[in-house]
Amino acid sequence: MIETRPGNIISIKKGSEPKGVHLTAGTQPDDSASVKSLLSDKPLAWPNRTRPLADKTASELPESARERFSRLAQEWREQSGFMSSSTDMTLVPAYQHIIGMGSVAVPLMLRQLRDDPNPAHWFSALEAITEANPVPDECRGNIKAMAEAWVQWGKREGCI
Amino acid sequence: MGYLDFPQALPRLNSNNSEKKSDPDTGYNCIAFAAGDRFNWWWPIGRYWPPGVPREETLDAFVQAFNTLGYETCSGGTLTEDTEKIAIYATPSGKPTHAARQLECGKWTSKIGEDDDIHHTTPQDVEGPGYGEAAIFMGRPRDIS
Repeated sequence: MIETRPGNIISIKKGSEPKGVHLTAGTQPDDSASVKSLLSDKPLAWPNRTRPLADKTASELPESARERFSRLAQEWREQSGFMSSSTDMTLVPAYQHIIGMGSVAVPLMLRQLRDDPNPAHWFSALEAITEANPVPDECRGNIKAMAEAWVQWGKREGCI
Repeated sequence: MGYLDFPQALPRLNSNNSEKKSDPDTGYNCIAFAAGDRFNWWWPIGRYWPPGVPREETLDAFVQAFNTLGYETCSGGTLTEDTEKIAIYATPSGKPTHAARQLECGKWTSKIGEDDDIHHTTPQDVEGPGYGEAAIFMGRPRDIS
């Protein structure tokens, strides 16, 4: 938001790089249309862009896969942390969204299984995405052993 | 997160009727904890389940699972000196959700999902949208281990 105070004039100058407008203080505005454009909520008419990334707030920047995974993992904890049912835990929306991320989420889950002393139950998501199941039957329920089986699988596959 | 961070699922739990007894641990759940196992996650689908017991999400299967530990169904959760009791919780449709174990003092103990172990005053303290209601009580002689 641009604020002006008496005696503190915002000047608008058209520059060559990047194309559009620059802001400097101290002189009279010479383009009322540009001022209105700058003060409005509409994006500036940059070639092939709306506004430069530097002008965007954090919430407007595209979310990286890592950021999205972290957000969904936290949401999953909030939605399922009280549950004992391993099936119900995988049916909550955030877990399904993580499955929907596909293969990009695999190394993120594997790194959590490797590094977290309290590994999350990513097993169903990993199986759904990779179609693999490296956990021996006799290890079902031993969460640390299940995590280790997946970590070793990830190393063999070059995922981590 | 802590066990009081799920007020919509567990609306009856509060700091007056419950207290935390351990830190979160993703290695075991309430069913395992009620069975005395802190090293496995018990669930018929995809996790540890007693050999020979149907891998079904039914109250009957859960009763059979605890039968393997010497528990038999009983009438309720009233404290009796020589009987160790558990409660199995289920949704209105009969799907098991949770188990709690009675302590010698008469209070109950539960593992809240991946989160804390807690003590709570009554079996009803963990009833609600998350776990449903205590559907079945089971007991075994207290000297069995």
